[in-house]
Order: sequence, then C-alpha cells, then structure tokens
Amino acid sequence: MNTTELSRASGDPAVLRESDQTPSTQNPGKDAIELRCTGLSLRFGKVRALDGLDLTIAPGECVGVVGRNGAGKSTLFRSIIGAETPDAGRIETTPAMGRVEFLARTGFVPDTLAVYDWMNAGQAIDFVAALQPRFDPSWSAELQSVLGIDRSVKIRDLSRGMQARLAFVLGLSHRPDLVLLDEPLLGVDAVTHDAVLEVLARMRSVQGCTMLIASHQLGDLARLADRVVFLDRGRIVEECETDELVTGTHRLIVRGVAEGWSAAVSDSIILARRQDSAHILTVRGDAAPIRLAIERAHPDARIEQIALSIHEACADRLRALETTP
Amino acid sequence: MSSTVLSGTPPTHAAHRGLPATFAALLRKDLRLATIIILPSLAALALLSLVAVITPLLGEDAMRALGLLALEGRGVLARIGAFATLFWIISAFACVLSALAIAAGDSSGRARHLLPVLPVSSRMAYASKTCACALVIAGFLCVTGAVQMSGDATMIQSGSIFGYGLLLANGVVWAFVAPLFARTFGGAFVVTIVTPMLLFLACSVVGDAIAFFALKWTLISRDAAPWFGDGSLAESGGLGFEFSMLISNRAWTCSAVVVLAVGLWCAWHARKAVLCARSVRGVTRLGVVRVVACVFAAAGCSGIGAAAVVWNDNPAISRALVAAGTYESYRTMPVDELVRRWGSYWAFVDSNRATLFDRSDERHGFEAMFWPIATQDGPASVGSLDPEELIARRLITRAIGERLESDPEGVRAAARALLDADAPRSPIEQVRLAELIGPRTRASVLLHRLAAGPSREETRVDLIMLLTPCLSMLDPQWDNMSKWRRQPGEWLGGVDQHAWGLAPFRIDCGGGPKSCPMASARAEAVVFVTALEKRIEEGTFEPTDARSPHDRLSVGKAVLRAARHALEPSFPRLADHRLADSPWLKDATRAPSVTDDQSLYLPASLLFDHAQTDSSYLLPTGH
Repeated sequence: MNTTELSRASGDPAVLRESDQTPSTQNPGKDAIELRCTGLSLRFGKVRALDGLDLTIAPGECVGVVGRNGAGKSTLFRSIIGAETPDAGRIETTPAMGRVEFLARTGFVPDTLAVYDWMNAGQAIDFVAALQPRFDPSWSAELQSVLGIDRSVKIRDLSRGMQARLAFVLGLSHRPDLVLLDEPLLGVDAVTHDAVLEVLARMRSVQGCTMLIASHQLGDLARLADRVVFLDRGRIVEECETDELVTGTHRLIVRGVAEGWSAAVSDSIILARRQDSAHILTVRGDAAPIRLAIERAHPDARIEQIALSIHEACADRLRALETTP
Repeated sequence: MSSTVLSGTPPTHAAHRGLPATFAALLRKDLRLATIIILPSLAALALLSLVAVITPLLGEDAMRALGLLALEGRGVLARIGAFATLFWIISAFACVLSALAIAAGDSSGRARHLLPVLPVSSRMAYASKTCACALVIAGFLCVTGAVQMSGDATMIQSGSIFGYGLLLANGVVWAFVAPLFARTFGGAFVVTIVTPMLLFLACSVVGDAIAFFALKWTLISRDAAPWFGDGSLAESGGLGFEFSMLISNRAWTCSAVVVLAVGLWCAWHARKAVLCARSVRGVTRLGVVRVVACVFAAAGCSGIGAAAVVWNDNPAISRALVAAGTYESYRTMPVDELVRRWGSYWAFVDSNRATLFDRSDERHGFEAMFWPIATQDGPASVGSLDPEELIARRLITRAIGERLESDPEGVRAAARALLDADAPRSPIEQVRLAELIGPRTRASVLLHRLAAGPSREETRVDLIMLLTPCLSMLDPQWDNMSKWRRQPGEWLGGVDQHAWGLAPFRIDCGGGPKSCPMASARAEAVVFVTALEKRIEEGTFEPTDARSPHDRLSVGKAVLRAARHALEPSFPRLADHRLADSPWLKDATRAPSVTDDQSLYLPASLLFDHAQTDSSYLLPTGH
C-alpha cells in the first residue's frame, strides 16, 4: 500500500496533493470496519422513523444515503452512533468491538455543530481531545489549518459554514476508521466544499476507511460514494452503483402518440409520466430495448433520448418513490 | 498491513491522558453546566449576607422590619444566621436546579450529539454527572450549614433534617428523570417540579385511602375497631380515637419515600436520555398505560407502606388491640371474677387518686366524684387523666354493663357477696359494687359510711357528692332506676317540693343553688336524709325492690340520725384552702350574702333560710 501524505500546498487549503491511490472497496485499509444494520426499527410516537432497515457497508466502502426530508437518514446515523436506541434490530461491526472502541474508531460529522455554546473553537477541540483516545494533535492541527479554523472564536459567534468546518475537525481529528457524515456540507463555501471533499477522498484513498454519507448535494456522492441507497419512510427501497446513477440513467421523451399509448412494461423503467403531449420515461441501464419496443408499437412516435445527470437520476427515483404505496 | 500514516505524528493513544484526565474533563464540563444556576444562587446568598451586614447602618426600623432587632449588639454572623431559613430555601432550589442543569444540560442543548459520539463509557459519564451534582449540593449545604450554626443552631431538629433531605433528594433524583420526558431545559424544569408533586398527590390520596381501608379492615377482623370509637360504638366505650385520625403524617413521609423510589427507578431508565443516547419519544398508548400503571403501583406501594408504618407506629392501634384482647377476656370471664375486678378497679382508682387527678385545685375533690358517675356516657377525657386508666375504665365499664344486661341477677348476687364479705373496702369501691345491685343498696352503703362519722374532710366531701344523686329515690315518678349523674344544685334549683311531698326548705346562698355547687350538694344530702327518715317512719318507702330482691335499703333510724349529724359539720380546712388568696372574705361570712366558698365555714343547718325552712331539716345551733 502506498503511503499518501495529505498536506497543504503553498498555504492554499484548496490545493492538496495526493498519490495515485484510487479509493475503492477492493482496497480497504487494514483497520477498515464493516458495518451491518439489520432490521433497525425506531418509532417516535406514531412516526415510524426506521422500519426494519437493513444495510451493510463493506470495509473501505463508501455508501451514499439519499432520501427526502424525514425519510430517516439522520435517525439512521444517530442509531449507529448510539444517540438513539432502536426499538428493534441490530448494529454490528466486523471486527467486533465494544461501544467505546467503536466510538473511538468512528468519526461523526452531524448536520449541525454539536458542542457547548460557552466554548470557543479551541476549547471545543481541546475538550474532544481530552475524551478521544485516538486524537491526533498533528492531524488535527493540519485539519484546522486546511479548514481555516480560528480557535479563539466563540461557538455562538461562528457562521453556519464555520460551524460545519469545526464539525469536520471535531469529527475527524482522530483519524476514524468509520466516517459517518450527515449532511456535512450545508452552508460551506465552494472553496471549503472542495477542500473537504479532497480531505475525505484522501482519507479513503490513504486510510481506506469506511464511509456513510447522507447528502442532498448529489454531486458530492458522485465523487465519493461507491454505492447509493435510497431511503424512504425508514426503509431502503433501492440501491445502485454510483456509476449507474452517473452514466446509466436515461430519459426517453416520446412525442406524436395521440391515443392508445402503452409503454413497454419493464423493470428498467424507473418512472413514467406525462408532460403536456409528451410521454416521459426514466430508464435505468440500456434504453435501446425500451426504445425499440415503443417504435414497434407506435411507428409514428418521435423519441428523444437524454442522458441524465446524477441529480436528475436521483430526483426521478425519489419521485418514483412517491407513487409507491 | 502496516499502520497508515497520513501526516504528523503517528495515530497512537499517546495523546490521551488517561482515565483520570477523561473524568476530570467530564467533571469540569458538568460543573460548567451547573454554573448558570450556581452563580446566581451564590449571588443571592451574598446579597442576603450583605443585607445582614449593613442593616444596622440603616437604623432601628430596618432592623425591626427584618426581625433583627433582638440581635442588636450581637455580631455580624449572628445577623446572617438569622436568615438561615432563607439560606436553606435558596440552597434547596439551587441544588435541585443545578442537578437539573447537570442532568439535562447535554440533552437539552446544542451538544446533544456530542456526548454520544465521544468514546467515553456510560458509567464514567454518568458518574461524572452524579459527582458534579454531589459537589454542588455539598457546597451549598456547607455554606448554609455554616450560616445555620452561626445563628441559632438549636433550631435544627432531626425531623426537619429528614424532611429537608427527603425533599432535596426528590428534587435531585427527579432532575435526573426529566431528560426522559422533555427536550428543552424549560420542559425539564416543569417535569422536575410537577411530576413528583403530582405523583406525591396521587400517592397521598390513593395511598392513604388504601392504608385507611386496610387498617380498618384489619382492626375490624381483630374485633378492635369498636375501640377506635367509630360512630355509635364510641358512645358505648370507644377509646377516644377517630378513624379519620388513623392515617398520621407519617403516611405522607411514606408517600414521599415512594415518590423518591419511583424517581430512582425512573432515573435508572432515564440514564440513556441523560447521556443523550435516547431522545424524547412521542406519546404512545403503551406509554400512557405504563405511566398509569406506574402511578397506581406507586400509590399501592405507598398505601401498603403507610399501612405498615401506621400499624407499627400508631400507639392508638396497639392500645385498641390490647383493649380488644382485654375486653374479650372480660367477656369470657366468670361473673364473680368480673365483679371482683370491677371492685378492685375502683379500689385502685381510689388508692391512686393523687396521681390520677389534678389536685392543685381542691374543687377537683368535688368534681372527682362525678367522673366515675360519668363513665357510662361521659366525655372521653375528664380532667387530666392517664390515658391508660381511661382505657381500663372504659373496658371494665362496658364489660360490666354488658354482663348486667345478659346476667343481671348473677352480677347482683356476686356484688352482694362481695359487699357482705368481711373485707375492708374504700368508699368508692363499695359504692360502685352497690350500684351494680341497685339504688337502695347504694344509698345504704353511703348512709352507713356517713353514719360511721368520717373525720377527714375529703372523705366527707366524697360521700356527700356520691349521696346527692340518691335524691331521685324520693321522686314520686321514680322507676327504681337511677342515673348517678347530676350537677350540684340542679335538683335543688328545680324541685317541686309539694309534688315530692317534701317539707318546705330554701337554701340561703348567694346567687342561688346553681351558683353554689358545694352548698347545694350539702343541702341536698340533708334533704335526702331527712325526707328518707320521714318516709321510712310513714311506711311510704318500700325498702326492698320487688323486681330485684338483692336491692334493699338496710338502714334504720339510728343510722339516718347519725348520717344527718355527720352532714352537719363545716369544712374549715377546705375553706381556708379555697380562700387562701382572698383572706378578707373570711371575715365577712354573712354579709351581704354567703358565697359558695364561704359556705364551707358554716354548719349544714346554716345553709338554709330558717324562716322558710322546716325545722326537721335543721339541727340545733351549735351542734
């Protein structure tokens, strides 16, 4: 395994050097953790936040979680770190370890900064350092430098973006083997955004750590995740490789069919809808068989095929979930 | 695979400073959480101390207004000590709110997602919170205790300490429950205050009811309920206790202890919420059922505990049980033995009169004669009687009363046998035994006693007071029954002399018969003896009760004459005692009119107005 040094170049936090190591589940770090969630269920009163959720993340794998607001993403993260106690189900790791060790090897970056208001940034970091046995002062200092943390600023005075930066430092300063990121980049500027993604990518490539990321910024998932799972009403309803999302989803726009429209029934069709006089199909994988079937049934049809971005692909999948009972 | 190094120092545990440092960091954090309460509370205490220091400078009015005037001239510490109660109150609130800040500070703030992700064992995190809480409480108690000691330390009582401690413990424990039910600090505060109060209320009301019915049922099952004086049974001999007073304040203590126990149980289940490992869940039907079940279980425990505490702690219950046992033994006792006990009991009373009655006022010598008469339906407490004696009196009285109803002739025969036996008996013992037989026997005993010429003034007083109710025997409407209870002067003030066939008489005492109880009693005794003598001579009085052959009048003319002479002498020693505080009244015995106390200096004949009184009632002057 090549050793990669993550360092700041020319004092510019956005420019980072890396080796040619490619992040991959095929090449996990020796300390990478496999995470298995089996049958997780959790209710808040009448709301079923998790409903028999099953999820396995292989060592060194990076999984993205996509879902609409209230789908259960944050509850899943809180359950994994132990901030919620599920009503049913198990959370297991390989290698097996106790809770304290698990937390010592896990880095959690929540969507909002979790630290005491009376502290300043430096005190918050020191507080975590005192309680985190794997805290690496040098690595932490490097992260603070890369992310531009001012240790003297009071927490209550931090902007949304600065809070997100500090949350990264607090969550990653101990070089975790499992990284949990719950909407980590809300409010950060574009430069910091890129810097954070670089840091995460290099942590994967160098350390081979396992990652679980929830984000509405699907481009981030395209850069980091090996696999994306779709969460709806506390259950994983679909999962696919990131490549499929990025390049393997197409939209067929069919026009010129006035009456008797019948789309070919296929598992490849993710979503079928009508907009004005056009019929729009979202298709996963190769769209040619679908297209051929339509042309046979409706010789006059004019078919336009568009390759979807990951954002469009995910959005159509989420729209499809709405129609599912 | 070798360890991966990204940059800087290798990822070792060297940076970590060990468990003590971890604990210290947590403790510092928890104490910092409490400072939002500690600092204002300390400021309030400091302000109070400042007021105590500067009050003398503000003048006497300020000292009076703050209740410090009595401490004028004493030191500053004494003045601060005068505010000890306020210090205790502030400290109690500060301790409870500090506990709340420590317990709910993590879960109700921005840091709710920080603690769960830190690799700290739950035990250590919880121990840190409890240690911080203990430190805060200890600090406030030390400050307040020092203030109390600098003031009036004698005000500290063990009961108060226990109550204060229980209150404080409840507040602190329920503060550690609050994060289970509330997301915000305000909500946690409401939960901490309101929940235990509601639970205490439920435990007090339902628990007291359970304890009450459990105790009452147990008392009933052991035949001890009547001796608790409920309703009609009280009139026939209850011990003066009331079922409404069965549940004492200790039941409240029991409720508070149960609330504390429930709080501890809830705190155990709330520890994940305190450590942010569980957020507040919504209301579910199962949750509501659990809460209701918990409340009922707590109330039940409170009731059982209160019943157990009261059962072991309430002396009235043990007395009632002893009374029930004693009464049962009386019921199964042979009639001879029961009557003998009855006599012995009055002998005991007579011989212990000095301890049973308050003799500080000689008037009780007169009143004392009435309380045995009042036993049947009299008040529960007469004078300053020993409660044990009261119980014994009611037990034997009720037992003998029941036996008189079930076996009247057996009782009379036994009493007669005891009276006829040649054994020395006190006047009261003889009278009480005679009463069992009937009014004629009773009068006979008293007249014989009087005829014997008792020398002690107290003995004569007793005999006179016991004799006066016998007047009812002369009533034309007399039904051979008599109530041995009468207020002195009652008869004399309202008797129809003509209807009774009595020779005319009139008492000569200031204010009339009812204002002169002692003079009236003496005059009534004279009228009774004189009229009885006349009836016997005329043969208009049947000496033996036809319905009860045991009851017969066994006095002759000589006995009646002797008794009349025994009634004549004055009571100078008693009068001197009564008038010790107003000696000038001794010199004015006849002018303008005789008072009740002054009448004690006069012979019985001079109690009557000679101009309006038949000479048969009078003895020659100077007798």
